[in-house]
Amino acid sequence: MKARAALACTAAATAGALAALSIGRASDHLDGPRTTADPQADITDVFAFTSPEDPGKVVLAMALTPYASDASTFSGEVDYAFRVQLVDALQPLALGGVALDVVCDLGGGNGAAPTMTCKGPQGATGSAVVGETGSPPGGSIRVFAGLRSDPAFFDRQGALVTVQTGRTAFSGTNAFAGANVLAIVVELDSTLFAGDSGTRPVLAVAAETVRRGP
Amino acid sequence: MRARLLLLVLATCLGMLACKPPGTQQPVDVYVPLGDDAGGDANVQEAGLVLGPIDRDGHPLVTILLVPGALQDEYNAQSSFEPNVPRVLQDALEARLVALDTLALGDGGPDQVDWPIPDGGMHPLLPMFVSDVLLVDTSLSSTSPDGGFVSSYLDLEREILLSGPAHTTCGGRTPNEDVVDETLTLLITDGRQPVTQGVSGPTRTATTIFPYLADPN
Repeated sequence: MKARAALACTAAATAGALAALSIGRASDHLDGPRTTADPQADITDVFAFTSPEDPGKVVLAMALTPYASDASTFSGEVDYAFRVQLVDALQPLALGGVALDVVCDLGGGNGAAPTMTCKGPQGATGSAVVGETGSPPGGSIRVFAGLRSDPAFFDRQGALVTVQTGRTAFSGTNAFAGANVLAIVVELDSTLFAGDSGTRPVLAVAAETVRRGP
Repeated sequence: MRARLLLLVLATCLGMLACKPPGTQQPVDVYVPLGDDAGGDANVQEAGLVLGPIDRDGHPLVTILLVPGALQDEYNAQSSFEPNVPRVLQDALEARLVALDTLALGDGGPDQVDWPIPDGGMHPLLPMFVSDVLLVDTSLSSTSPDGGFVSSYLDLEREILLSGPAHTTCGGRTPNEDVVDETLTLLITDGRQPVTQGVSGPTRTATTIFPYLADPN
């Protein structure tokens, strides 16, 4: 009896584990009640790569706000943070444990136009008027904040059928075709993360949003 | 109350799915959901928005594919660098990894197990998704000789966490790469057989010129 109950529970868990996949959501879009209720803080994707324009710099980008429109805005009550740590060793993986974050928020502008300001390690700063591609001169962080085409592409319906049937059944239809997101892109000298060593380090990177209130 | 009981049962079942004998199953934390069942969350503002950590993202699809809906807020509220997340989250992630490993491919039967869990151990991919961060080597390029972005996703993770070859790109994640296919292939077949969603690329292709992500539609 106990074995049968355990088997039933396991079978239920198996079905639940697949059927409960959030097939209406990807790649990090609408991933939970909180983020769904708070699209200004809903991170849809994060990117981290060496700058194609300047190999001495690293690019960190986060996309937010699924199905954004021209009316979509960043929140002045949210910190948009790139969490960064140094990778001290590859084998085995060892992180530095010291936060080298780049944190962006709406602030620092001296006019009516909303301005995204980002602050990073060693006092690095930069800002940009939302929607404009050029940072003001003098900043050590190049910043963009504004509307972009959604970089995600995902066959949502195929995933639905896949999880319903328990077998892959993708059709190649992009659920995010034609959709937009808000994006924050920062570019800064990678040696800023390396302290005094002057090397271009290996970094561990993630994006986080924190609603801090007014 | 009923919702909490249901979640507890589900969490217990998910824990069992991790192929551990019931007698040796570690205690599963009780998940206290937020929202309607919270019974007054001190962090909820008048407008209904919650203060504090809202979302986190490292590898794509982690929350969507690996975290049950009832636990997604809890998962998102963890620090991206925190390896010691609540046991219920680890068990839930591991259960999803186990389930996806044997997902049937096309008309075939359940796929073979590519990620066996060692006795007393954990799913080999679990650490990568609990502490969910991208690894990027800023000394290496993100572009190929033809000027486009290289496919760099998981290049460092394969070397460091999965005993793969030495990385040759910056790793991290560049735009335009089909990370869904790469994720499905990793989770279901470990590269033994490609798994594709059949979507060839984004609506607009990212460029190698700042701000890189393509103009809006």
